[in-house]
Amino acid sequence: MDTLVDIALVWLVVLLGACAVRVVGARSTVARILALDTLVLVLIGLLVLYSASRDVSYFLDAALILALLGFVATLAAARYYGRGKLFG
Amino acid sequence: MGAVLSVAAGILVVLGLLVLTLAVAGIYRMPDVYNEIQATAKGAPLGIVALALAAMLTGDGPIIARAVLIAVFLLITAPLAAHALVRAAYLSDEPMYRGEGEDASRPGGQPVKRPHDDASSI
Repeated sequence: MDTLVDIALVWLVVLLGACAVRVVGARSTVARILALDTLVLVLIGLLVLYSASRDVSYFLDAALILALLGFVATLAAARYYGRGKLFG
Repeated sequence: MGAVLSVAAGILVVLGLLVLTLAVAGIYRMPDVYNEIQATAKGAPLGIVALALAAMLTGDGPIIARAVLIAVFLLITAPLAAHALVRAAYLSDEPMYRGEGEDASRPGGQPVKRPHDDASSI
């Protein structure tokens, strides 16, 4: 079980790196926002798994805050890029 | 009981990793932005939900509470973020992949004529 979790953590870091490469090399702005959103989601998964493997809960607080921030950031960036303004 | 929970947690971790990997592969392999959003908006939250379920199997109270919160929040907000992204892509004239070959529902590339098209002045 411990080996599995270690392998899983390394694999999630690899996925994180893949998302980071995609953020830099995106074809368009929307693709870049999407890659950033996916990066945040993979980071949340990494924190959840790490918190479960260490049996402590405070990494999950960080994951929850990241989920909130990632959603608001994606929404704001998408609305601003699509229509040129945030509200209205 | 402990061994069963451990095996279940291991299966859930592998499942979550698989789905997350598919989501990240989606942004590399899909032909246009719309398909990329389609792939990641489903894959990433579901993978994290599987990982959160694995975290819940630890049986620790604070971890269970936070994992449930994260899973529910992601299941609610991921479709909203995907909708906003697709809308931004469409409004900014992002190119759309038309595929190879002919569109079977539009022979000759003509738009389908609908009954109410001629009655637009009514």
